[in-house]
Amino acid sequence: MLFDFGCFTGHWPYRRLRRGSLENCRADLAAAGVGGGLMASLDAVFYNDSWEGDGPLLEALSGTGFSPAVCLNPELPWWRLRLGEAARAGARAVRLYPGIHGYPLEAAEELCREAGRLGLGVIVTARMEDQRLEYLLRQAPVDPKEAAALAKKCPGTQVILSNFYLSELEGLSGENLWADTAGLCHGLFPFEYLEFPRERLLFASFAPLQCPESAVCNLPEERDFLDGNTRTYWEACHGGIS
Amino acid sequence: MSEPIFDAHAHIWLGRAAQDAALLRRAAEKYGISKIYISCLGSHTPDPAEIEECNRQAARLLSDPLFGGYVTVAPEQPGALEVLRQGAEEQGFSGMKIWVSCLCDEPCCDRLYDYCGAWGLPVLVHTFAKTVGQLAGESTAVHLRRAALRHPGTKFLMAHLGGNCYHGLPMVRDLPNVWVDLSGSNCRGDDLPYALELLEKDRIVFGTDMPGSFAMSYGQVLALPQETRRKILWENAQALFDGRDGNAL
Repeated sequence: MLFDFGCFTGHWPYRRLRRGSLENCRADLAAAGVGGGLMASLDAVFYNDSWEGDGPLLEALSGTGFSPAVCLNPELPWWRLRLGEAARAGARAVRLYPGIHGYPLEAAEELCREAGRLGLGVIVTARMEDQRLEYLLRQAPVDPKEAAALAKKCPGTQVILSNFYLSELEGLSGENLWADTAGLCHGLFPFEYLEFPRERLLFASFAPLQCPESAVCNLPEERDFLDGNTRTYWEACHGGIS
Repeated sequence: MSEPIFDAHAHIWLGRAAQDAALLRRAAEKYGISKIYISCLGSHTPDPAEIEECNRQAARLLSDPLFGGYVTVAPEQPGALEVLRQGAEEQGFSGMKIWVSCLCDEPCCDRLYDYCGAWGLPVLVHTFAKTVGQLAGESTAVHLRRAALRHPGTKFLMAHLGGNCYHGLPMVRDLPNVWVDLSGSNCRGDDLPYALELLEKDRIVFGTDMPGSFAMSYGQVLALPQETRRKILWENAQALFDGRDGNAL
C-alpha cells in the first residue's frame, strides 16, 4: 500500500468536488492502493482561521491511518498558537500555500523552524490546480529555489516540495529536502527525466483534485523505493513509523 | 489492462517529430496501446508552408499501423480545402484537426465540414474554456455547439472534455454528432465520472494529448467498470472512425 504525502478532503471554491467528503476520499484512495497519508483540509485553505477546517479534520482522522497536514499562514498572528495545538492534537505536518496566501517563503522561516522543533514536517505547495482554470484568486508562482533555500535555513525540519513540475525540481537537493510526485503526472516517462534525487521522492496523489489512479499509474514499475523513502522521511521527521 | 486501447488524441510537434514519435511508440509498448491518432502542430497561427510541413511530418508516420492521423488545417487560409482534400485523398489521413488559428464556428470552416461530412471524416476540435489566457482563435464548447448544429451530418470530436467539463459538456449533451475526448493535463479528479453522468457512454473517447500528457487521462479510465472501460478505450473510437485504418478487432 502506498503512503500519500499529498491528499485532501473538503470543498474547493472554484468547482464542485463530487468525491470530496472524507468517506469518499478514503474510499477512492484505498481503491487506488493508498493505505494512509498526510491529508489536508481544502476548506482550511480559505478560512480566516484555518483551524476551523483543521480542528474537525484532526478529530475525524483519528485512527484512520491518515494524519492531518494542517494549514498555516505565517503572516497571521495566531500561527504559533495553532501550530502548538496541532502538534498536541497529533498533526504530523504543516502545509503551506504561499501562492494562495500571498507571502514570500522567507516569511515562513520561523514557522518552519518551530514546526521542526515540534516534530512536524513542512510541505510547501507550488500550486493546487492547472493555472488555466484559476478564477478570482490567482495563485502566485512559488519559486522552487526559494523553497529549497527555506529547507536549508531550517536544517531541523523536513521540507517537502509539493506539486512542483519536473522542470522546477531540476538540480535541487538538500539533506532535509524532499519532493512529492504529484507534479510529475505530466508528459511521458517523467521519472526517466527527473533531475532530483530519487531517494528523496515521496508519493502524492493530490486527490480529490486529481484522480488518484492517475498518480499511481504514472509511477515507474519498480516503485519499492517509495516505501523506503517513506520510512527514511518518517525516521528523520518523527523518529520512526508509529 | 486486457482491453485494446485506441488513443484518439495525440501529437507530434514540429521540430521534434521524430523524438515525439519515438516516445509515442514507447508508450504504446508500455501501456498496450494499439492505435494512436496523431496530428502535427507548430505555432498558434501557422502560415501555409508550416501547415504543409506539419502534415508532411505526420503523413510520414502513417505507414506504421500504430498510427492514424488528422490532417491539420487552418480554416481561415484560402487553400484550406485543398489541404484537407490532399490530406484525406492522397496522404492517408482519416480526420481533420482544427487547433487555435480560428474559432471553429467561423463561416470559413463550413466548406471543410461539408467535405468531412461527405467523406465521413471526424473533425477533432481543440476546445478550452480558460479563465486565464484564452486565445483569440481558441474555441470553446459554445463555438463547437454552433458548428455541430449547422452540420448535423458531420462528426465532431470535442477535445479535452471542452477544457472545463462543467462548462463544456452541457453544451454538447443533446448533440448526437459530437463525441468528446478526455485528453489533456487539465483532466481532473472527477471529470470522467461527470462526463459519464451527463453523456451516454457511447460518445466518450479515450485520448491523452501525448506526448504532453498521459497519466491524467489514463488513470481515470482504470477505475471504470469493464464494459464502460472497453467502450471508452476502444469501441467508441471505432464507431467514430467507422473502423477505418484496419482497426477492427
